[in-house]
Amino acid sequence: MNRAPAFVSFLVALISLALFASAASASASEAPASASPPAPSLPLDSLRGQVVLVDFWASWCAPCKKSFPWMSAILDRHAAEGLVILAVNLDKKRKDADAFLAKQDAKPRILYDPEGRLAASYELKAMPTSFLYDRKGILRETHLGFTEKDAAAIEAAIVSLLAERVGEPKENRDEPPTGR
Amino acid sequence: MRVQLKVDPDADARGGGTRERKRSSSPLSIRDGLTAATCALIGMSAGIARAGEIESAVLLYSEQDRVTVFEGTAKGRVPLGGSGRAVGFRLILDALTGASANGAVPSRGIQTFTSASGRSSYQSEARRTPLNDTFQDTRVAGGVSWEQPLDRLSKGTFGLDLSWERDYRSAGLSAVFSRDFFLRNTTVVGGGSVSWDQVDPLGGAPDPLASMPPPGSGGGDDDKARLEDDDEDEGGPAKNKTSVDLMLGVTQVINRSTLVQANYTRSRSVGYLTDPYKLLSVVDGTPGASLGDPVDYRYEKRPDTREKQSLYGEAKHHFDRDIIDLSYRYLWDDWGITSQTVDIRYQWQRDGPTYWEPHFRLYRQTAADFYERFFVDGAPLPEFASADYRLGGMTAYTAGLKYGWSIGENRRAGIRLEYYEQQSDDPADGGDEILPGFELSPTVRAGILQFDYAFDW
Amino acid sequence: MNRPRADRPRRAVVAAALILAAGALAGGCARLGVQPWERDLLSETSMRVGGEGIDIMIDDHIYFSKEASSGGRGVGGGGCGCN
Repeated sequence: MNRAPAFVSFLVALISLALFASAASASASEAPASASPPAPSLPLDSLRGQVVLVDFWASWCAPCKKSFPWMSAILDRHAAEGLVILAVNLDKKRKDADAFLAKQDAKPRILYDPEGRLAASYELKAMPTSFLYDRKGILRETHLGFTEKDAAAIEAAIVSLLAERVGEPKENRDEPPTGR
Repeated sequence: MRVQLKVDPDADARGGGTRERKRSSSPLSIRDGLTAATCALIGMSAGIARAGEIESAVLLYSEQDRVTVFEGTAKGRVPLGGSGRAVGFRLILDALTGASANGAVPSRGIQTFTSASGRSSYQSEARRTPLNDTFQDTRVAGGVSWEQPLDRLSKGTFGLDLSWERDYRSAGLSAVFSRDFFLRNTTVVGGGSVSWDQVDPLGGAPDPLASMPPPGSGGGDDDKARLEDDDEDEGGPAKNKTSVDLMLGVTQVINRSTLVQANYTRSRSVGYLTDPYKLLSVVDGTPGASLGDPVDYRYEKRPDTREKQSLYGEAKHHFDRDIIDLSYRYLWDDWGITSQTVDIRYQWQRDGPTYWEPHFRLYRQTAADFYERFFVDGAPLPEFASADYRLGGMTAYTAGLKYGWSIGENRRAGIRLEYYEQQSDDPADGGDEILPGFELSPTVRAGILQFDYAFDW
Repeated sequence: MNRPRADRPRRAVVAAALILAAGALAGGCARLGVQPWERDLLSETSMRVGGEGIDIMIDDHIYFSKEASSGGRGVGGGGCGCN
């Protein structure tokens, strides 16, 4: 009985190391190649003047499932005042995203980034992540993850950003009054 | 991401292993959810892990000629609000019937065994391994845990575990902390638990290595009298045991499909670790007509401390549909026991949300230093001795197959059938000369049938 | 108690395990792992580690009653890594 256990343990250790090594080398070779087409980008320029919430999500992310009804609800409340939500999907398979959306009455505008290049350019640190841009296109808030506390905080920030109007008081004050 | 409380929930609650705990009778009903899968999921191959989940199972365990157990279990995790806090729970109900080996060796005639008080007795068949069939047992074990996030990347899980059966009670507390690093690719976990156990053996705890009282010496009362008069048993008051466990582990994501985990556990038990129902035969070693006949029986005695350590490694790999899970544990303690466990599961995903999962486990253990199959009359008694087959050298195999299916998006069910076989590795010293023709360490064979059902949200 | 015969395989296994664990930790800083949006497979129920399923809980319970070893499993890690 003396040799067998050592042999078994070595065999298992070897198999694990082999799995480990092949996996590690595989992941190294998956590093993004510079020859691939440029990453998709967000149409933020065309949305200047509106408050934009960009949300990165995927069908396999449990908190994302909670965030969708909330996003539709705040759109109902604030779209008229200029809120736009871009929901960027990171599923590798389009049908997973479609299945997820089929069960929601999803109001946000959906963009697709299956290879994660947009996510990489934004250096996402968590799933989901949301970025809040003001009417001038400046990034004002980043939220990692989604919980009920986040929901309340983001909505409060949206309300205050919506209240900031672009191109206001300063210019009007200097104009001579009409009807002279 | 979930960290389920699991610092060895019921293990060292039993330390040296009081007895087999596989008996049953509880009439647990199978949940109504066991319906055949009729809906197909749209596109999803296997379910994503949700925040909230409850799993349940009913199980039948049956050993050839020995113990049969009915078991019902449930475990779950309930998230509280959106803050990341959660409550976990675990419940196991066991009812046992049947018999288990008491440590004595077979002899040519019927043997009679008594409890420590001498008041009750049972007999074994001639030429067969003596089995103790006197205890009926129902056992309830459960635990609750509280999961508290400490910051975005770390959390603590605090648990309370309780166990109750007629002659054994246990309570334990545990705390486990985990922290994620490197975009949650690495998780480091550390924790500990303490448990306090109390054994109150039926018939009283025997004096270790004392001779078994002759049958009928206690007045020959039935079980009821024995239980009521616990205080008056010569065995003395209930026995206690305390265990402390520490655990340190790391989980590492290797790539999109692969995960590995390594873990180190150390535990120390102090107190009454002996099995009060097990004994050793003292056999006649003189050549002649009475060679091998039992002359006396002595209750076993184990040390009052045990320190165990183990190293565990696991790897899981996803082949886009199928999943393989490979794990290895190496364990050693200060009783001289070392063991190795290899466990392989392969989930073979089929069309529709169903799968087959073959399972293979190999276990090998060396005997405890004080393990002896029997004593020879006249030889000096050692300081510690036990003939409990669970402390002997053994090799055990498990081969099983599970069939699982999903019901809609939130529910899943399964059926599992397994075969377990345990063979003794140590030939009993002197067994061939003194007890020729007897099977001193028979192979243990058992079958397991399980139905399980789970739902999540 | 002395058990010289068991030491050699034990040391080899301990060394192998420590190397694996150290490799995992060291590798975490460098190339190993995935981005947060690449955890689709890891988030599946069947890819959880650490004794999450009921089968494992039942198996541990059975083997604890029939053998001299118990526990040792790890806890947590992996999963979708969300929030």
